[in-house]
Amino acid sequence: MSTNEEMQLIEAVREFAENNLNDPEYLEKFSPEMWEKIADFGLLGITVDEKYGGLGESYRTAAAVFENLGYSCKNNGFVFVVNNHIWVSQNLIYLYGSEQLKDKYLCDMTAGKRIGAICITEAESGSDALSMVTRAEKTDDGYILNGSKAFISNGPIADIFIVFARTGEGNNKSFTAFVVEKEFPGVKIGADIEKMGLGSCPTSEIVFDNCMIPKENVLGRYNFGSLIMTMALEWERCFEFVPHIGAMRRVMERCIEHVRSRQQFGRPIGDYQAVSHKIADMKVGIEMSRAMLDRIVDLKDNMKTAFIDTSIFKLYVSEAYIKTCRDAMQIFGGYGYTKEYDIERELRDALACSIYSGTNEMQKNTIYNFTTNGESL
Amino acid sequence: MIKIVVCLKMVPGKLIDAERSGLIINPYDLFVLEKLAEFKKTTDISVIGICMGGESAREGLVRSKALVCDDIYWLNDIKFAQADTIATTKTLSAAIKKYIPDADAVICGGHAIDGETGQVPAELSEKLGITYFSSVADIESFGHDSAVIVKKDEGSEMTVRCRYPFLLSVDSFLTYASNLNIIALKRAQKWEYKIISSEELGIAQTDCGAAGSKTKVINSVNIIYKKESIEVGGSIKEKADHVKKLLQQ
Ligand SMILES: Cc1cc2nc3c(=O)[nH]c(=O)nc-3n(C[C@H](O)[C@H](O)[C@H](O)COP(=O)(O)OP(=O)(O)OC[C@H]3O[C@@H](n4cnc5c(N)ncnc54)[C@H](O)[C@@H]3O)c2cc1C
Repeated sequence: MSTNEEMQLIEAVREFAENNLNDPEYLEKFSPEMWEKIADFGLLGITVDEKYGGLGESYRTAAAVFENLGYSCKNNGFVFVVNNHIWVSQNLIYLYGSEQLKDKYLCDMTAGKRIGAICITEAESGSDALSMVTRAEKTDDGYILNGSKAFISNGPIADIFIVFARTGEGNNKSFTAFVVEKEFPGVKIGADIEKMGLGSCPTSEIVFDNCMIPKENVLGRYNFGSLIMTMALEWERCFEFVPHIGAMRRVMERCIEHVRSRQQFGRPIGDYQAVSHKIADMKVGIEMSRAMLDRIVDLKDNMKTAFIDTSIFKLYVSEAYIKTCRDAMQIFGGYGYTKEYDIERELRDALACSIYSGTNEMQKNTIYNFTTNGESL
Repeated sequence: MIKIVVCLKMVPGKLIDAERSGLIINPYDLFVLEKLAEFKKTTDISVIGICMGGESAREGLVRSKALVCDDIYWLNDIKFAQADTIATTKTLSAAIKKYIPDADAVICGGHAIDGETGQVPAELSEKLGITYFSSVADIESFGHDSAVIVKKDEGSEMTVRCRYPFLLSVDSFLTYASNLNIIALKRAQKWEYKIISSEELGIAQTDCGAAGSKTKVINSVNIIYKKESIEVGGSIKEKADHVKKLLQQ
């Protein structure tokens, strides 16, 4: 795709987001109408083949588009819904699913008729994901799944869940990923859990009570679930954090406007270095994130793994994003602390990103292990 | 199927957004495209865009194609440049007569926000020899042999049934088209646009472009009034007092 064509796509996405996704009424609750609009707009299948109703774009183009979605859509929770649907459910079926699974689900997912979610975390297994107890037993017809998953983004609105479950003993080769439909017998969806931020992305517990899964709904291969999980987290650590770069840009621009217009002691507050340096830090955060992203999309477009790069990227972007929003609140002073200025919501939304997709402490463990032992896990 | 021709003009984007570079679809033409995109979901219409413009019009044409156009005739030749309304309508009418002689309706935006002459629709209907309806605010339906439109003139509103063929000059505008879809946009980027030269059109050089124009724009300046904003702080009462003072000034 030429830069000109990519620019056209970006421009269309920005216009679409500004005109359709910023309804103040839905900043803290999910809007089915907005979902319908983004599906009609055609964004959901950005990297998926045209055969399944997608656009077949490269990851580089997708990154540019999603940075701008994050910039133009101030509804961070809604962007999170879209991210969870695309990158850690639809994308996994597209890349690792059998032809049968792709035919069964992809067209509906790219058209937004079915929403996706990913289920890894459990009440007692968070960072230590492989200690999960949700288990699937093989039967003649398929599998019977039992257990429950916690903090599932999109849970209350999702139709399709990528569920990781124990299918053997020990660690690596004892997990399997399944594609589970909401309608399968034994699936129970918990109530929307109230969170500090990202209110427009509903979250819930999902319980599997003797849930029957047909044979063909194994994602990838039986007992190769930890590999799929590694891949899923790699996609998540990259693409769920791309829109945060756009969000940082948006918050930075608001800060620039404010430091120019707000006067104290007879001068714009931007004249004070203690204030202006915060904006310099924001700019550095944005540019460094983009530089890292550039390398990752190159690897991904060449079908290469970027496990450690995405771990570093996730850690860096989340720290920079949170700092940007924290500094924005300081720059706006008392006004920033009020609901009216909408900076406090940006901060509340941002704070979760050091937790989801693996906490930042876990990223540091991964980076340390990789650096000292050459290990990636 | 009802055959509708839409005349498309690309205008500088900065006229609606100071930050915007390049050309955009004239907002009055965009209203027409959006309206037709809505009709296309329920009515059997075929939409053909016709645009006189250079390479910089491509982006707008891609959008027009993505939005609703089944086909586009792009009159792109340096010899068409610097046309006044007479040369423009001679060129457009020659193209419509040659390529879409069976058009049921020709629809133009009421005026282009750069030139602001508003003369092209009337002149074009004259040259095509079809009925002209001005001040059209909306189109209600396209039927088998006629369409229903709403005309708004100096405080009065009229709903009119017009028999084909006719030309409408539409006075409603849009700056954003909600029917644009990026899958269609991508397809439109790959589409091959028919570029028509003056030779291919068979129009004499003395009838088009600068040579065919009776008038020549020597200089044009866009006067953009910048709005300034001030932040009003304090309690609600203080804010209200401040606003009152400003209004009194
Ligand atoms: C907004 C949001 C959305 C989410 N969406 C999903 C979803 O869609 N699907 C899903 O499966 N999960 C989801 N999660 C869950 C998320 O992945 C987990 O919260 C995360 O992995 C951390 O697990 P935990 O909350 O159990 O914390 P714990 O693992 O209990 O960690 C608590 C603290 O201890 C630290 N810690 C733990 N172990 C170590 C260690 N070995 N070294 C250093 N520090 C350590 C952690 O870093 C953290 O600071 C979501 C979470 C949030 C907040």
